[in-house]
Amino acid sequence: MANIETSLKEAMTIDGAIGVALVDYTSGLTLGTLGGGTTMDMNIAAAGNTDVVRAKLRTLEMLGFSDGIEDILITLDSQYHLIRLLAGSQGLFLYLSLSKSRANLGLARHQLRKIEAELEI
Amino acid sequence: MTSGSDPYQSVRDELAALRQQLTGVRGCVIAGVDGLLILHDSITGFEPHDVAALSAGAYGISRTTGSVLGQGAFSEVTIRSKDGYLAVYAVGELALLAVIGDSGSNIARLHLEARPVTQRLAEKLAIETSHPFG
Repeated sequence: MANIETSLKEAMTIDGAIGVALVDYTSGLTLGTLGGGTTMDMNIAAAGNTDVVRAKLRTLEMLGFSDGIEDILITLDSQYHLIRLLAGSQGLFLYLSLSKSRANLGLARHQLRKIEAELEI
Repeated sequence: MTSGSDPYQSVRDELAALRQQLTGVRGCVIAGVDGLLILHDSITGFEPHDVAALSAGAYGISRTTGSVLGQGAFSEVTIRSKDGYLAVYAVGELALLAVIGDSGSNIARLHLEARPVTQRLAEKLAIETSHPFG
């Protein structure tokens, strides 16, 4: 089991990681962020992607699916944005941005799943 | 400032934009720090004068807190209740922007969107206070 700090640090060791945030999507506020550099404000990314997660959850509800979201992948020209909801419906998600040229998407997704499983809040 | 019969139209536009851009925003109030209503935007179910007075109350305790702790001037305060929010932002030194949101509000996004709005409002209201009838 790992705490928030450790989990964020571990996420930043994933190849190609640019920034990571743990976000409460009931409010859009972050429980922690790491990385992002000068180009990416992780708090803005967290607030914006809260709307993405909420929209998808609402869509599933409208479709009448009882399925939960495991993860959401957004592919940009130069980056991957990976959103992974925490199991147990605590209203939290991990948000990871990766450089497309440096990251291995399959491996990153696998590593993020492991980090999420071990994260204890 | 837009030329029209309502000198506050551009301010009203800012509030309407805030409400339209964000889900869960129920309405906005601009109040003086003395708790008197300046103007409000499409508030239903609340008495805008009451919200103005509440905002000044929240501002009062927040300002005192900042002062006692030596953390500088008031900038914003958020009250989260079980079923919603009241966020109060400083608009310059003499006015407040209060935003009422329901429990589904994206409060982080509200903060991000509201901060530049308060700066623009401060400029707009500064112009209007120099007006002979402002």
